[in-house]
Amino acid sequence: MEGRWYPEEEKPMSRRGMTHALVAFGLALAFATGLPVARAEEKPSIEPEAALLLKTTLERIGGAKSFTFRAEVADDTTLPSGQKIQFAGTLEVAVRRPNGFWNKFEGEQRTARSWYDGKTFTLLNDGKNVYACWPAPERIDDLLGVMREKLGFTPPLARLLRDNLAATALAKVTSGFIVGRGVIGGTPCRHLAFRGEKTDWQVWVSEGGEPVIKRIVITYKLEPAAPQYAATFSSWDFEPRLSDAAFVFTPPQGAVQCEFEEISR
Amino acid sequence: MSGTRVLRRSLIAIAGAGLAGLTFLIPGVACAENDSRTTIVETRGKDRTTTVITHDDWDDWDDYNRTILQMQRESISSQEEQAREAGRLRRRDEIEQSQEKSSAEHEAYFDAILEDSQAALKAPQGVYYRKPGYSAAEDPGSGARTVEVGGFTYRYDQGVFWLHQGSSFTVVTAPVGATVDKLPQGVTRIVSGTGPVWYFFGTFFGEKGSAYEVIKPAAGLTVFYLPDGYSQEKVKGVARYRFGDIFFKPIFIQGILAYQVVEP
Repeated sequence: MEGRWYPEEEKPMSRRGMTHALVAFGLALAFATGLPVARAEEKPSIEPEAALLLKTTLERIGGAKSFTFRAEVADDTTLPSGQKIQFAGTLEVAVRRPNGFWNKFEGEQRTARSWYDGKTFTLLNDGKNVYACWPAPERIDDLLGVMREKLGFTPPLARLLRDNLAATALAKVTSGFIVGRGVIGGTPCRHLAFRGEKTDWQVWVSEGGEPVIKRIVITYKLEPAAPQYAATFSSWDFEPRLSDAAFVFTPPQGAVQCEFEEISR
Repeated sequence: MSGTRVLRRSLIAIAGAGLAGLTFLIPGVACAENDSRTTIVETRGKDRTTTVITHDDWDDWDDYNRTILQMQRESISSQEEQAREAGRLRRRDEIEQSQEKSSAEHEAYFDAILEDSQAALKAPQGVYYRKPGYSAAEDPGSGARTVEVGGFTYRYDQGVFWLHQGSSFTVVTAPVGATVDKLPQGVTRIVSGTGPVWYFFGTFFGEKGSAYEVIKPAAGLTVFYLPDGYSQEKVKGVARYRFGDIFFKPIFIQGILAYQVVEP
């Protein structure tokens, strides 16, 4: 009965109670010193509804025989001073699977176009009228992989050109959820947010009818000042009329040909 | 319980807790009860334990995932749970293997965007610059220094070299061998095999003690912009650019148009 009169914190300390105190103090110390105990409480989790909505949206893109879109792009760069600068640009893309794409990027830093016809990938810097051609694999998916390996880059938003983007979109994603609803360009959207190892990314998917991506924001959280890449999409067309000529490069008058630097590994 | 007894127990608890806390700071201590990476601590609840694994490198996602799995593994005495977890790990490994290639490309793409945007920074905006041929009636200013090279006397100010010609001052290409005490604002640092090189609107600077010397760049050095005033020519059908006595060829590096120094 004597125990009843002890306030909870004044009870005689049992071995278990002592252990609890040790653990609590140890955890508190670990928190205070920045040790990663807090991270250990995180559990990878993706809301099924968020995953399903993303999958459905990407399957539509990945399964399309051909499509076109336009995107307003904003790309952060952090100057050595720490000042963050955002470069804006417009991206137009045309895709015809399995072996054709064309894109044009008009930005503050450069204007460039690229062509792929199943045989050759060509990049043209419009401002300087300089281009380079590269013998390419027969399929877009193969091209993108080899480009990255050999040339060290891929076209803007190249992920959307892949057949299997729905299957691989959530690779290494640690969490995902539906943030809520928003309106992008007058279109009601579901706002999804995902976390990855190196990047966090958000997607706005249109509501009503066939879902399309209206906006993507990628945050490079490990980079200084956590720069972001944002693309706001418009003019999605999943039944475009694309001629063969759209994917074949013809050098502009006076254009200078150069080479791609291949990455040696 | 007397106040003294409560106080003594509290002090013991605090001292013990401090030692427990230190085990998080000193892996070697934490390892005493287990292997070199694990500390087992007891949490609330009857017969429930939680395994907390401490790691040196939390950037390793695979280790992190495994830690999460460990954290979820309460009531670890259950053989059934262990079997289930082994199955989960196997399935996860299989999925990771199948996704490895596409995941690498996924990340590489995002990395490429960043590289692209950083490399795309071209001629610095808003910095002082005058291209060769520009003339002014007055001396470049009080901040200018006199530099003598090859029998000529130049005035140097913020990366720009001037020659006094008649009654005016004219901007000229930087004379190789000129030594200056300060680099101009907006200079770009280039990593080369022979040490750091700085680039500013067609001029290359190398280190010379605590000062900087205008140098003739080695073939292969790459810059991402050419200054106004460069000319284009074709040699054996191949286009190249010339600025002063320096020749460049265009080349796409990771999709960005760059200019590589070539031999004349």
